[in-house]
Amino acid sequence: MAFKLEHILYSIGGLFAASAIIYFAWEYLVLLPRIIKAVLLVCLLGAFYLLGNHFRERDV
Amino acid sequence: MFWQILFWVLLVPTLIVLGIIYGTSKRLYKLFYILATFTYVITIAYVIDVFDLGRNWILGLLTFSAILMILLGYRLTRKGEEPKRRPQPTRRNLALLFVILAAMLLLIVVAALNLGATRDVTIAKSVSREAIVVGDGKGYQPLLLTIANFTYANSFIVPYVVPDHYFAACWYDSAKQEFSSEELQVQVNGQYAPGMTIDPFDEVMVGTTVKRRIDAGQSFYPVPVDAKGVVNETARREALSRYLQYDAIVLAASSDPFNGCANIAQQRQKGRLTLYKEIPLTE
Repeated sequence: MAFKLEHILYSIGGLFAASAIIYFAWEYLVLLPRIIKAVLLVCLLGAFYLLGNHFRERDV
Repeated sequence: MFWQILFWVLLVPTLIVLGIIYGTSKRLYKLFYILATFTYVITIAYVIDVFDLGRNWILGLLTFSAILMILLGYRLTRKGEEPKRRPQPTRRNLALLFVILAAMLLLIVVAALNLGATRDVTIAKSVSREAIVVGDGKGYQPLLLTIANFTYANSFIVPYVVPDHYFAACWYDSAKQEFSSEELQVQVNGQYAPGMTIDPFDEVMVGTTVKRRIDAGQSFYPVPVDAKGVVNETARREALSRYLQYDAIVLAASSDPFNGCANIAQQRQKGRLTLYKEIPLTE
């Protein structure tokens, strides 16, 4: 499989997005109360599940 | 804090599995299901770790998780893993996703605003140089003076995380705007720990208050007494002379740890300090 330029850009974009999320969690979310963090985790779990469902329906 | 260890230990194999699954199937949805499973594991570990759950609750959570995963696996086996593409995909999942993301954002904003949280700080107007350096001059331990009192209260339903986790006190030359290289010993509620780290999970629940008393003193053994109980005046004057150049002590608080007195200035420049107060010294 030949690597295309867009794949490299997608990868770099993904890395930046992951870095932004980790930095946000490290600097800001860490200061939130425990109960809020637990609820956010449950919400995130739901968000991943719904995204999975969404892509599954479209066979992506 | 075992959930953090579990997170990093599981992250690497999860990333590898994500890569393999995507490489073999070219389907994004499988990756999100794996990410959801990973998040579930971390959520359970986090809840068990940071909340003071009883044995029965922990056992219940573990059993529930085991049954849930087994049932999901069984259901997948029965239905077959491959999706049946719908002729007209619904938008229900996307609509629910936006609702969840909006709820997350709202939660973060509400918790960060700390509605109903108050912090009342009383700080000493001045501190005696002699008292803070040599104390009463008769002990081998420094005399610690109370230089500040913090009272945190919360009248809002969301718990309030106390922002001041770390405290530092240093000698300060206000003319030159220079800190001493050595820190004063600081105690919070009578507890001493280098760097003054406080329980990071100190949260103020609704209708309650949390108090912190900040004491400070010079951290070397100042003025020994001889066998007859007479204070060594030479040692007393020598100890005092080391701090004559300073005209104030600075009390700083932050949610980041301090790494020496110079770090107070650095944190102040970056706007990270939650408190910065110069307390004048009196003779």
